Amino acid sequence: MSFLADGFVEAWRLITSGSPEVFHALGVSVLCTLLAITLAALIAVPYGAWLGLFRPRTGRAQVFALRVGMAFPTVVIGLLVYAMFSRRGFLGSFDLLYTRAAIITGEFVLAFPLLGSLAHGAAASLDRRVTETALTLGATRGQALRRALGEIRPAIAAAYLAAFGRCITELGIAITVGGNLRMRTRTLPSTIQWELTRGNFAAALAPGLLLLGLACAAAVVTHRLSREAQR
Amino acid sequence: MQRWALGFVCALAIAACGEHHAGGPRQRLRLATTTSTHNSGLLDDLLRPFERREHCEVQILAVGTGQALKLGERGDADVVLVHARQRELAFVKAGHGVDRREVMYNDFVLAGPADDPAQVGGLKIAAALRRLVRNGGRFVSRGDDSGTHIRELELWQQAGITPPTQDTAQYFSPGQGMGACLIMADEKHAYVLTDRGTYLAFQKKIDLVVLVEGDDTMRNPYGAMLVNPKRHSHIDGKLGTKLLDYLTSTEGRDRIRAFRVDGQQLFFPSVRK
Amino acid sequence: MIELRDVSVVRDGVEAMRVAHLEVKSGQRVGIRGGNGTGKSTLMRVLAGLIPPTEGTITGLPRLGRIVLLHQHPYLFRGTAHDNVAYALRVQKKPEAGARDWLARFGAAHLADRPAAVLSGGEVRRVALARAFCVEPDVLLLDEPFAALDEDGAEALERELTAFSGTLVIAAPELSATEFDRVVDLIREPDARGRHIDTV
Repeated sequence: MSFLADGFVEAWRLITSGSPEVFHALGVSVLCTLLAITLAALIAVPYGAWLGLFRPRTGRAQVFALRVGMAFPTVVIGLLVYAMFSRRGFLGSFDLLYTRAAIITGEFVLAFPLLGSLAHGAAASLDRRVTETALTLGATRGQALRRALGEIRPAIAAAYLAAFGRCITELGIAITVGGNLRMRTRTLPSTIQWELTRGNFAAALAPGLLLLGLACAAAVVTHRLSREAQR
Repeated sequence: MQRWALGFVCALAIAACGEHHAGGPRQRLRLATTTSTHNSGLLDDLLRPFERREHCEVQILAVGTGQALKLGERGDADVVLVHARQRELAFVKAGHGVDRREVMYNDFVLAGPADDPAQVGGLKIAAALRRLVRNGGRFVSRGDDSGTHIRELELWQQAGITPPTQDTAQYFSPGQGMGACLIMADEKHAYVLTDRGTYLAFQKKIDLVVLVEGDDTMRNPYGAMLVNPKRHSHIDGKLGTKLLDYLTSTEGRDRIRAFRVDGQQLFFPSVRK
Repeated sequence: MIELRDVSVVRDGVEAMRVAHLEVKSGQRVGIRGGNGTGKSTLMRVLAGLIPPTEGTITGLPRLGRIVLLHQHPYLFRGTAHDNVAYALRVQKKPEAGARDWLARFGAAHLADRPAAVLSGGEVRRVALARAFCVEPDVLLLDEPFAALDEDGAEALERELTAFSGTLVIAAPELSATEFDRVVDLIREPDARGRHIDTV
């Protein structure tokens, strides 16, 4: 028991003393995640909503593809991005492997189907009068899509937070394509894993607590939003 | 609550018995060692005859030197086989381990891209490291407290260079195993200090070549210790000592010497004292 | 002139509407009378160009935005009443400043800054009418426009309908024929599994 308690005390000390390694990892985690999911959301949300609202002929296949993408094991995503950025891969000349850009790419691939799929679900179950009204008033399809996105705003926010939760905790991608480089591409999850392999339980717990805090914050915001949406 | 606990203990006991029967009445010995020895395939060769003779099972926990020692310290391993002499001695001195034996050694090499952009090929290691920094070459550090990492730091120190701890474009510290670091060095066109065994195992998959080798300072001795049975009652001192005896016996030494990867001898038995 | 020939709409395997022949001439005022489940709302959506017919042909439909449908149960977007009217003006590339005037015409000026979500059924109707009329379309399709309106609201709507110069189609269960150039009845044919025909 004291093993765990001592770990907590030491972890808390590491956090409050502002350990540069831990906070660098925090910065990398948050920055990469936000960039990746924001870029993904900008494309995936309108795309998914478009599939849900206008149901194009090949829409079912595309929605299926999104769902398959959502079920993709993250290590496989890591492998694919690795293959892409490896010196022998087709983007190898950019020397992007083991950089934050590579992590962002991996998390983008991870978040895209999730965001697209959730946006599709929200748009498909949206009252059809929304697009009908917009279109009949003279809106273009693009304008009607934007109008519909405005109507499903809470669902989009929830999807965004789900993507945040998924990416911020991502370990496979961070290690496979990020390389877990100290003070560069080391994220909170990969710090935990790295400290644990060295047998430093307390040092692994500190980023663990920060990660827990972030995940909880995301959950609280999601909960608030869903209550607001019910109103 | 008490009845609950009793039930739980009974369940555990039954589970334990079941496992015992399923595995036969074989004893188990946990050997904490480094990834480099395990990856080379030496241990499989070396330990099989021992397991057969003693009718036991040696479980290999392949981790970094730092963690292997920690496992021993906590009593999560019976025998520790690592390569970081100073730490081994400290480990014994602190009473965590007993009966330390020198088992064998292999050597480290500095590997790098075939075109050798920093022009370090053929130099002594200290000069090579200095030139590597001066010419802006990239370097992948293990960064995981392993024996190789510790040696790496010693070599930097001998060269009079403080390796960077901050984010720089030249110094990579992934904190991963030797294989992962070799792959990374290959991908990033960087230099890396590696034990020869792991390098040979990866040679076909990567474009790195050996650029610096043969220095006395790059010799890598392996020591084995029994985790102190007085500290942890569950440690099997008898079987552990048998393993140490075997590793340093004529048979063990012959097997170490006979082990080959791609026709190359990787490990050399230590000189008997 | 809008013309429908042998048009039917099938949704989820059920025929929701069938019209053998229907003409709406430019500038005409046409009433569509039919009880529950006769397919009035579906017909209105087809006329608005919002759903394609499963079978049959339609000719002469103006483009979306020149033909405006007001749903039987209008949908107001998130935001205020004013936002809703302003949205229609914006997509029509008309000055949004006119939004308040249009609300005032339907006695809804005082609702301008209220969130759409808190409006009553009658208030929603007034705002939705203002939003539809402000487009000043060539063809206006109103699905039960008097529902939920009080006396004031109904009067305001009558006034605007009189002032409206384009083609007008109103669907409702009960209509007084005098106000229309033509009234079309949608009837459910009892023996044909929910089929509908028009009797002009």
